[in-house]
Amino acid sequence: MTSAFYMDDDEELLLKIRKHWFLVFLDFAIIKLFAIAPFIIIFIFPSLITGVAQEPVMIGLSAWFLLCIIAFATTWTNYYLDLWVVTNKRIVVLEQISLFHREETTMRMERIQDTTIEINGFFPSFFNYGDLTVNTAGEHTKNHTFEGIPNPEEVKALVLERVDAVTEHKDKLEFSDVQRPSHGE
Amino acid sequence: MTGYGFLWIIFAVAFFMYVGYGCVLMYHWFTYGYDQKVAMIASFLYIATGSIALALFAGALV
Repeated sequence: MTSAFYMDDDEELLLKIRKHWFLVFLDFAIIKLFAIAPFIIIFIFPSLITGVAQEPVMIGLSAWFLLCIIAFATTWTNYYLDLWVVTNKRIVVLEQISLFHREETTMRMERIQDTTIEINGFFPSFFNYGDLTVNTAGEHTKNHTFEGIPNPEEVKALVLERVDAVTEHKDKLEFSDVQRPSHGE
Repeated sequence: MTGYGFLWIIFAVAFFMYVGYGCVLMYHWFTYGYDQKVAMIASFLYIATGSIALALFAGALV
């Protein structure tokens, strides 16, 4: 599937989730505004590129564009490398926190206790995206929140369905172990 | 060119940041990315758009 995430042979990929496109669109829109700002200035003061100041303006423009390209690429990288993978056995959270800070968390379905979704605001309600929090059981209980995922209700339903299926299967196995007579009897 | 020394410094910093960041980003795309094709397209776009900025710079020198 990927170079960064490997699955077992009997593991089935159910869902790959990234942040909603609108969130990255907002970030891009801001950077784009910065990128076109020099053109607006040149449009207002056309003498900048026709007069004696042409050379420094061009050098400044090219430096500005290089910085804007870096901002674009970094934003896209943060979006692209953040991923939730839901399989029939676990949820894997791959998070690129900064360029040199990457986290990978695995939550097994049988350890998941609750899931909570939060859709807060006009745009999240309109575009149907929100935050999904998954609570896991264990000694080191930790909540994992994935912000801005599309269709959070559907994702929550899928996760709970898988949790129920895994728990039911586990209960059946435990029950059959109890029922099975031991060799000594 | 003299008299615009600070612009040259700004450009040099931006250029080295562009190259340095580019190397790090491409490393991430190819190592942690989920599709080699996407990494290749992203790298191509990064270099192509950077080339436009560098062409502007070259235009200033001509």
